[in-house]
Amino acid sequence: MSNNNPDYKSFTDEELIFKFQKEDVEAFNEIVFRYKDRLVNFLFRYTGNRDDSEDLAQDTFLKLYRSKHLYREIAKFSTWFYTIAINIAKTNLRKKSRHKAISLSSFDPEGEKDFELTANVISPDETANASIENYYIQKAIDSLGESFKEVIILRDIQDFEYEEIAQITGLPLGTVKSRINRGREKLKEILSEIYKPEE
Amino acid sequence: MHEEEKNIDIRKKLKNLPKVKASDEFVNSLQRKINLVEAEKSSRSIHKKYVDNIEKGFFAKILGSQRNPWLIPALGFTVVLFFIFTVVYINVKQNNLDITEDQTKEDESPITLKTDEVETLKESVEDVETGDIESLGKEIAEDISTEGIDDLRAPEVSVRGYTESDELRKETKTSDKDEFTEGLIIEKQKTYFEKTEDKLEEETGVDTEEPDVLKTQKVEKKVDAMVRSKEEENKKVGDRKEKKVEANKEKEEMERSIKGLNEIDQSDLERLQEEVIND
Repeated sequence: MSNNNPDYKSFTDEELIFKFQKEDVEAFNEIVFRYKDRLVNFLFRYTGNRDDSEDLAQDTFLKLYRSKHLYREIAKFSTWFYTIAINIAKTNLRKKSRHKAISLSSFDPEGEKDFELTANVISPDETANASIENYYIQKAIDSLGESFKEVIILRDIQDFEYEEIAQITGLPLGTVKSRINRGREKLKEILSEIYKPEE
Repeated sequence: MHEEEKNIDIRKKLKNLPKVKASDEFVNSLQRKINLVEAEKSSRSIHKKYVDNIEKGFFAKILGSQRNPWLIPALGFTVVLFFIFTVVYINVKQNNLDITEDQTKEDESPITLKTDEVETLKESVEDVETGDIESLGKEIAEDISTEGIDDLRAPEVSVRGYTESDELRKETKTSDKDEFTEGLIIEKQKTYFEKTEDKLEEETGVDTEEPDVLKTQKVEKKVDAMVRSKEEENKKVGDRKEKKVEANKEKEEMERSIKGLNEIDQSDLERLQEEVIND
């Protein structure tokens, strides 16, 4: 999987995907090399779970591998690729929420309910966060609504432009802007409630 | 831009979040997943090639796909069924044509009754006394004089037992009482022959009420023949009666002439003897 060919590094994302559409597997390797960390980071912030983020990132690359022929040069490759990632992440979140509901309603014969670990419980994934503040910021992001979370992550963590976010989410530009602002305010509010740094 | 500056602190915090990197195993596990996908793809293509090879067969070309192999025996069975049906249908049609031809020939040929049937018919016809018929005619004539023709007129029943329509009845209505009584006599004969028809059914086993048109036609013809024979016999009886009456008349005349001869006086005889002697 390692890419030793320096020529591929000079290609743009779009050039790489076109090469991959012509069955050039090296181009795909270069795309994986360029996007794996960014994608895992985005998905970790979106899901709040390290294992899930890696799995979802792999699923996104697999989807790209299978559906490479669907890309057309009407949008940037990164926009198209993140659209795939966000759709996979949303589907996974819905599946998980269904699973959680079943797990909570299940009956324990010994009288002790074995609840699923929710986002409010500290898990080993949080070791990725260097400080407690970062941990609470992540908790605040997790507690945001789905519509606010995706735009905040895309804008403030992944550094996408408003237009790009509008393309990825399929929302109008104005809606994206307003959601980002409201999301930030909400995030600030949540953080002030759950985390008060010691002066 | 104003909005960006407004929440600058939270933006900074989000930007400063540590970047999570993919694990070292990420690429390897991705490679494994890709290999699985490739294997699935290749197995699918192998299966497709296999299916394509099978589809080159005769039935596959007809049916288009080997995925439904049960279609082959089903198709064969359908073809055999169709063949059997066609053969049977043609045979039945041919047989029906032959039967109808035979029946038309039979209908054209004169009715020949067996000797047993003829004897039984004769016996049954003889059972009806002519006196009964005449007495019935007289009774009806009396009733007509008291009640009128239309009320008494019985529904004309055909040999088959169908009641004729009112229009037909009007057409056949006769004003003459004698004609009417004759008609009633014929009706009586017809009803009688209906009874004999039933007897025939019992003896010959031919069901006249059976919806078979040919059978009913046959029976009708038989009954018509019987009606004709009865009419002829009636005529014969009438002729015999007339002859009897004539013979009686002749006898009476003869007796009268004999009586006249007997009444000739003895004196006349003596006178005649004298004249003969004198001469």
